[in-house]
Amino acid sequence: MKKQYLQQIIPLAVFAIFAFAYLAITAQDLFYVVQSQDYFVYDSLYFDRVASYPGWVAPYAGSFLTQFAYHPLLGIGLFVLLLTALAWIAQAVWRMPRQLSALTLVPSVLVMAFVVGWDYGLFGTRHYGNLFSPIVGLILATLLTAVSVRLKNRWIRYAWSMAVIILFYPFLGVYALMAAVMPLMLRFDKLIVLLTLVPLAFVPYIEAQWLFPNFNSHFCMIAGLPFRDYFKTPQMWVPLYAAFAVSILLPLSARVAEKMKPRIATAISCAVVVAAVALVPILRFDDSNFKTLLAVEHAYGVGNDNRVLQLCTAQQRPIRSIVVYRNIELWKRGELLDKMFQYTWETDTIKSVNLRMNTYITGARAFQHYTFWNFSYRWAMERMVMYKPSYADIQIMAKNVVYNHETDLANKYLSQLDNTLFYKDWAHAQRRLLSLETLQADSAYMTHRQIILVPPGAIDNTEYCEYMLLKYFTNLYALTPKRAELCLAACMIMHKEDEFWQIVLAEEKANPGTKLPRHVQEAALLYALKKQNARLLAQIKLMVGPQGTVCQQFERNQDLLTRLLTTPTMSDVNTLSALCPGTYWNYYFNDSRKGVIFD
Amino acid sequence: MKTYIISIISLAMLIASCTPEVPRDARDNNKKVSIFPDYTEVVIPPNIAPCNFHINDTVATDFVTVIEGSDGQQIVAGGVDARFSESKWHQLVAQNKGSELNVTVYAKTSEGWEHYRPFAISVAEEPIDEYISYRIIEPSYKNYGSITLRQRNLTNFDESVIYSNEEINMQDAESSYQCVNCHSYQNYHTDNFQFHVRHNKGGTVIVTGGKAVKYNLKTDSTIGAGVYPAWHPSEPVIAYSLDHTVQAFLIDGPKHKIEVLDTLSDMVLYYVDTNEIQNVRKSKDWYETTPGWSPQGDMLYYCTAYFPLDVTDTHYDLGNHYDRILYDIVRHPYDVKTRTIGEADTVFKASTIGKSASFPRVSPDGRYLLFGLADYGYFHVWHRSSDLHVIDLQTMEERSLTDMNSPETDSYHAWSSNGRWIVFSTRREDGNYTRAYIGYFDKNGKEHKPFAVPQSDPLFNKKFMKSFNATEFMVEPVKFSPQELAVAVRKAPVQAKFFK
Repeated sequence: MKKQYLQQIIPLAVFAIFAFAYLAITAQDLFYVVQSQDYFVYDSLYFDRVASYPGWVAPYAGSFLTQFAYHPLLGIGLFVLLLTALAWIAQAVWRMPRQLSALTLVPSVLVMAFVVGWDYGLFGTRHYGNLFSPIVGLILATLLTAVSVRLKNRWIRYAWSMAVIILFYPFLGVYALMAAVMPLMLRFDKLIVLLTLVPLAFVPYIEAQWLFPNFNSHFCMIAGLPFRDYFKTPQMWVPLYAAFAVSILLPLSARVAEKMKPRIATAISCAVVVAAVALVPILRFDDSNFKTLLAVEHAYGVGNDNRVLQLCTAQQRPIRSIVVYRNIELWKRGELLDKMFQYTWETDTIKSVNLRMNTYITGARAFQHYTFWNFSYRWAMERMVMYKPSYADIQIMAKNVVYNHETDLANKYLSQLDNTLFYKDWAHAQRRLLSLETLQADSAYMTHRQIILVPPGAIDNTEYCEYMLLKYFTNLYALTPKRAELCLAACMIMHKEDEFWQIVLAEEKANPGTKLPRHVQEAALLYALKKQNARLLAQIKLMVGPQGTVCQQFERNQDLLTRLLTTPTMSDVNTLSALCPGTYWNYYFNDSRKGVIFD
Repeated sequence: MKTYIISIISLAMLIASCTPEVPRDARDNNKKVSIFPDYTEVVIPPNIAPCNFHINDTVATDFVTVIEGSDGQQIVAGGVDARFSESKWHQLVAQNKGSELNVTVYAKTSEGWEHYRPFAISVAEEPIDEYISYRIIEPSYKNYGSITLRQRNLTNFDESVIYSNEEINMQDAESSYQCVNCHSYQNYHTDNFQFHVRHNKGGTVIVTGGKAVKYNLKTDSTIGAGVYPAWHPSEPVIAYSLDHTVQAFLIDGPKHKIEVLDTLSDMVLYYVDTNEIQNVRKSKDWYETTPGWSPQGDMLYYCTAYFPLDVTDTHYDLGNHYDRILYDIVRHPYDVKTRTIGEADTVFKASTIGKSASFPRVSPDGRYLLFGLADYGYFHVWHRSSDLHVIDLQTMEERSLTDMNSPETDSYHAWSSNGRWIVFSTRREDGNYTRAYIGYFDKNGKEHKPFAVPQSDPLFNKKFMKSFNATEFMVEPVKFSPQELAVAVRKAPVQAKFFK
C-alpha cells in the first residue's frame, strides 16, 4: 500500500519540483506582467462583468488566483500546486493503473506549455484570468466527473450527465461539456452516448441565448475558454486543446492499458510524458525583446527604475518600446544628450503573430513620463476599452488624474485599487497626493510641473531640450514637427541644421562657458564642417574645448568626415562605424540613414 | 444569468433581513448629511424606484435612515447604504404624491446615537415614463470595445439589453469592433425605432411594422450615412444629420481632453416607407446637425454653424479652429401631406453671444425648446462649459436651467412624454463618466434640482467604469430580443435611394 502510494506521489512531486524550478527561472516576469494585465476586485460590478458570459466560473476563479502572481514566486507556486492537484485528482477519479499514473501529468504539462507560449498578445487580452482559468476549469470538470464515475446505474449516470450539461453549463461552459463527455469514455454505451451528445449539441446554444444577451451564441461550445485571445496563433492553442483531449481520453487509456503488458504500458506512458515535457521549452516564445520587455514592465511595476535602464541598454536590436523606455531613463538622469547615440537607434520590429502596436504596449506609460497626462490617460483608456481593464492601466489612469488634480475621478480609480489585494498600498500612497499641498511637495510631480511651465520656445535649458526631444521622439501618434523644431535634440535627429544653430547660439549666449552635452558638441562640429566655414569651425572648436576628447576625436577623423560629407562611400561609412561608435557622427551617417520609425 | 443570481441572493437577503430599530433619544448634531447620490431637496416622480443612497460618514459605526410621509407612515433602512424595500417605498411615495417625504439619517458614534438635520424629498403629482434607454460605453476616444444599448425600468431596478455589439464582434482580439450609437424612437413608443451600427457590418437598423431591417443610408448624392436621428412624431420620416466627424486630442490640462467636431455635415430626411433620402440643407460652408421635431411634426429644428474655410485649409484643418465654430438653432416648416420643407428661420442665434447650441428638443406641449449651450462646437459631452437652456417659444425668452445645471458637463437631454421630466447626461459626479440624471420641470416652467437615476447599489455610479450615453424616454420596452436584432445586423444592408 505504502509502495503504491509512493509510486503515485513520487512522479507528482518530481513534476512539481521540475515545474516550479523551470517557471521560477524562466517565467517570473511573465507571471508578473500577466498579472498586471489582468484584474480582479471584490465587487459586484466586476462579478457582473465576468458573469455575463457562460462558463464564467473558471475565468473568475482564474482572475482571483492571477492576482497572487504580483509576487511571481507565489503565483508560480499556486500554479504548480494546481497543476499537480489536477494530476492527483485525475489519478484518483480514473483509478489509473500504476503503470499509467504518469499519464495524468500530461494535461498539466500541456497547460504549462500553453502558458509559456504566450507572446506580445498578452499586452492586450480580452478574457480574465487566462493564466489560471484552464487549469481551474480542468479540475472542476474532473471533479464533476468523479460523481458520475461512482454512480452504478447507467440511467442515474445519464441523469447526472444531463444535469451537468443543463445546470452547470452556464457556470462552467466548455468544462461542463467535458464533464458530461468524459464518463462516456469509461463505459462505451451507444445509447447513452447518443442520448448525451444530442442534447449536448443544442442545450448550450439555448442557454447561451436565453441567459447571456451579451454573448454571441455561435461560440457557445467553447465558452469559458479564452477564445478571443491569441486567435491568430492556433499553435498556441494546440497544447491547451491537447490537454483537453488527453483529459477526456485518460479513462479510455486506462481501459486500453488493461490489455497491454504492464511494462509496455509504462514505457508508452513515460514516453508520452517525456514528449509533453519536451514541448514546454519548444513551445516557449523565445524572443529576447519580449523577455526584456517583460522584465522592464516588471521593474516599472515594482518601482525599480534603475533596472529598466540596465535592461534596455543591454538589449541588442531593441524594439521601439525598449528604445522609448531607454530614452526615458536616460532623460530622467539628465544623460540623454550625452548618451543617446551611444546605443543603437535601429529599432527592430515586433516578431509576433499577435501584433500589438508599440503605442499599446508603451504609450500610456511613456506619455506619463513626458507629462502628456491627457495622452497617457487616453492610451490607457484606449487599451482598456479595446481589451479589458487591468491593474496596470487603472494605475496609469489614476496617476494621470492625480497629477491633473481631478480629485473625484482619481478617487474613482483609487477606490477600485483599494479593493485589490496587492495594489491598495499604492492606491493609499496616491490618495495622499490628492491634497494639493502634498502633491506640490512631491518631487516627481514638481519635476513634471517645472518642465511644463517652461514657455514654448524656451531654448536655453538642456533638460527642456531633452524633454522636447522625448516629446517628439515618442510622439507615438500625433506628430508635431513644429513643436519638435524648437528642440535641440530633435533638430539633431531630424538634421534641422538651421534650427540647431539658432538654439546652440542662444544657449551659448544665455549660459556662456557652460559645457555642451557630448552629442551636441559632436553635432556642432559636424555641421560646422558641413558648412565649410573655417571661421565657424574654429569658433565651435573653441566653444567645445580644443583639448576635449570630442574635439580631439573629431580632428583625428576630420578627413573621413569631410569625405563622408562630400563623396560618401560604403567603405567610409563602415570605417566611421568602427572608429566612432556611439557618436552623433555615426548616427548621422549610419543609424539615421536606416530610418528611425516614428509610428 | 445576472437576474438568476440576483433573485437567489435577494431571496436569501429577504429571509435574513429585518427592519432596523429607529434609535430613541438620538441627539441632533445639527449637521447637514452628505449622501451619495445626492437626493437632498430633490423632486421625484411618484412612480420612481427607491432612491437608495450611501451615507458619506466614515466616523459613525452604524446608521439608520427613516423616511416619513406626511401622514406619519415610515420606511426604515439600516446601514451605511440606505436601501429601501421596493414595495414599501412605492406605497409611501404613492401616498405622498404632491407632498413631501422627510428623511432623517441617524448615526451611531462613540457618544451614542445622533441624527443629522432632516432633509426633504418632494413627490410630484406627475409620473415619469416607465422606461429609459441608453448606450453603455466607456468615455473612450478612438477605440471601442463592448457597447450595449440597454433599457431600464425606472419604477424598479430592472435593466435589460436591447442590443449588444458582442453578438456580432465576439470573435477575436484582432477583429474590428462595432460601434453602436444613436437610438431614436417614434413618439416614445418602440414599435418604430432605429439605431446605427458602424464599421463591422455597419448600417442603420430600422424597426418598423414588426420587422428589423438594416439599411445603408449613404448614397452617391449624400456625404455619408445618417448620424443624429429624429423620428417624426407621427409619420414614417426620420430626420438625420450626416456628419463627417473627427476627433482632436488636446495635450495638456484636465479641463479639455478631446474635441469632437464635424468636418462636413448636412441635413436630410429619410422616408422609411419609400426608402428615399431627401436633402434639407446641403452646403460646404454650413454645418448642420442634431435635428429634433416639434410635437406636431410641423417644424424641424436643428443646429447650424457657418464656417467658411480659408482657401489653403482643408476640412480636416478645422481641428485648428474648433473653438471658433458656433452653432445656432434654426427651424424649417414641414408639410406632412406634401412632404415639402419650407425656408429656415433662426430661432436662437447663440453665436451672437459667443456660444454654441446643440440638440434642440421641443417639449411635448410645444411651449419650450430645450437645448445644450456651451462655448463652442456641438459635441457638448466633452465641454465642461455645457449647460441646459430653454427658450419659451411663446415669448422667445431664453434662460439657463440653473437649478439643474452643474459646473461640469450637462448635455444630452430628453423630455418625458408628459413634459414634466427631463432626463439628461451629466458629468457632475467625477467630470468624466456620464450619468443619467432626471429633473422635474413644473407646469410653470420652473426647473428643480435633479437626481441620479436610482440604482440598487447606491455606490453603483462610483464603481461603474462606463458612461450612460444618449438617454431617451420610452413608455414601453423594446419588444425585440438582442438576438433578433443581431440577425438583422448580420444581413447585408438595403440600399437607400436618393430622392431627386
